[in-house]
Amino acid sequence: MKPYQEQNYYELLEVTPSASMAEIRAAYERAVETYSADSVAIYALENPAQADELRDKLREAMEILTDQGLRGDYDRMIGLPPRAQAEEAAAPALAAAELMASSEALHSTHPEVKVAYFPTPSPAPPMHAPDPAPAGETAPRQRMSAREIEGAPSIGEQEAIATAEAAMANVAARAREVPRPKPLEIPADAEFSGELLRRVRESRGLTIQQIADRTRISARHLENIEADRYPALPTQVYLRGILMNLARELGLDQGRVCKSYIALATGKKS
Amino acid sequence: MKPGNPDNVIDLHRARAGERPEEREGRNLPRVQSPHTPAPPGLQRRTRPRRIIAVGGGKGGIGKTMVSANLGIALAQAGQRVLLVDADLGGANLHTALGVSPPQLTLSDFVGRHTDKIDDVVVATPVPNLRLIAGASDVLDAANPRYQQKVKLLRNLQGVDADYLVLDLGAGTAFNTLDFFLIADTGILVLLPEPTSVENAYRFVKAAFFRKLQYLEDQYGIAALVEDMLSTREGAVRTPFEFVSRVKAQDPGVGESLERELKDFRVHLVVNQARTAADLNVGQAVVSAWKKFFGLEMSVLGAIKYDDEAWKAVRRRRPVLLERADCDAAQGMVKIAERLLSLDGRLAVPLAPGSP
Repeated sequence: MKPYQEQNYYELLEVTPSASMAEIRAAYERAVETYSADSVAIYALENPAQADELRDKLREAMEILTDQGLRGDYDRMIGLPPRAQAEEAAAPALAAAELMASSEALHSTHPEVKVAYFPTPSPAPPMHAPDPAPAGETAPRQRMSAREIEGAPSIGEQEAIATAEAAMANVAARAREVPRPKPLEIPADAEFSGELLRRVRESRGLTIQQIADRTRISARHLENIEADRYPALPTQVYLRGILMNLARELGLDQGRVCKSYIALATGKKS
Repeated sequence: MKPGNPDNVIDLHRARAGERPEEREGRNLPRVQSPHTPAPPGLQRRTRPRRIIAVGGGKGGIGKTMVSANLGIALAQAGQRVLLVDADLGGANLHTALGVSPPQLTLSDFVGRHTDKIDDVVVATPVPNLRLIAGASDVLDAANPRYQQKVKLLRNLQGVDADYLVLDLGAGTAFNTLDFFLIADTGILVLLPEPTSVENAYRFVKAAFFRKLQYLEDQYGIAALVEDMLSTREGAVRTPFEFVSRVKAQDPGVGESLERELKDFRVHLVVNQARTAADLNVGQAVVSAWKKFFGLEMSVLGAIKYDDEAWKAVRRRRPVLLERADCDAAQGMVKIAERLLSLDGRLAVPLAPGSP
């Protein structure tokens, strides 16, 4: 139970800590719409001054999180582990292909997100804000779709660097207010049942919808997985792809989650 | 309000002192048993055979009855045994939405003690698996049942033999309406993408929230704070979050228990009459705003597109799902039913071809 005053930047924008730049910008655009002065959703909700304050915070969140260096510092300050960069870069092609073939992927409204996926450079030293971007950073940027670049707020790199120092101070100040997330202890021999996956998800402060939005796995599948409704799950080939994606999203060992869950599921079936 | 809640128990013998005289209605509140009350192992997670869905929304004319009727039909068509209950005690018209002529016996006969068996007022509908308790009719008293009558009604509804009970609630935030909403396993809030409807929806959820706190106040010894919150005095706490903070400041243990309890207070939104793509997203925006400002969860069950077919069906006194099952509004309803079944773990096969 956290009002916006206590939310961290990720919570404010309703994205996961591993969200790509494109996702963060899209989330910001959504938030701008939701919390604009004439938005029907905030009518009669609170006083206008609070909405102003929230809008300021949202912009600040977007500005920090869309800057590689500042984001890295912020992550460290709120106690997030370094993002699992290598995994993101090598997004399992097989699983992705399987998902694209399944119906929910075909219903995906933002196919460009996959293209615009923005892997962060591998084990990056987090303190490099004012440095020019390393080579690893520029290549993926070019892969962003045209739409994404047009839609991006016009915060040029020049400007970002110019305001970096001020923003850094800001990050430090904010980070002190942000409570550290409590990681869930998972025993080495744990079986990854739906129940455990749910607990991991909740410990990460994620909703089913957020996972669904991010992975393009339908909320229904995710609910069925978490409820261990094995008969309602798709065939093993698809299930494997879904579990791989889900595990990656939750920062878990993909192979272990797959093996463990599928063992449970098939054991129950027979 | 959440799957897994073992049993909603009404406490008949709850006496309290020091009530405000004007709040006679609030004297003896039906108590919803805490889902966090420890239960014997194995019982806590058992799924209940019957689930209660309440359809509310605060504002009138937003499609609560249309949603109830068509949701009932969709669930019945999915093979669930459904009982639709017109709980709009002062403005019943669910029978008309279903194309059923006003039955001889209605809820008012049960409330007014003309019969003691709730089954006596249940009538069949043309839809297999779907039965109806029509609403109160012309009796003035029926809109304002006395407390004992209401308790009897709620208890009997909870005991009815059906897979799903769908309660069509009236407009407004009267205690009668809120109590029906709070005994439900799933509370559905119908919302139009319009400021008037959004305003009333927020008000309805706040009222339901405070009503739930009244249920809980004895258990947690927070009566004085609840009183404070419900009063209109300047400086009284106004948001659920503020309230929990105050309780925490007084007693961190109680505050945390209360916070856990309130996690189960989850409202499911249905956006009706969506005309634009932005309208379809209003549900998600409301969920987001509600969480940011009040710290409480809502979720979106689905959206129903604005559809002339739905309006035409009302004119013909036929549910749109029976009249034009292929139209946008009917399909929206089927998706919502599908999602509910899926949440309850009862979806064997997708209901609509091509649905996710």
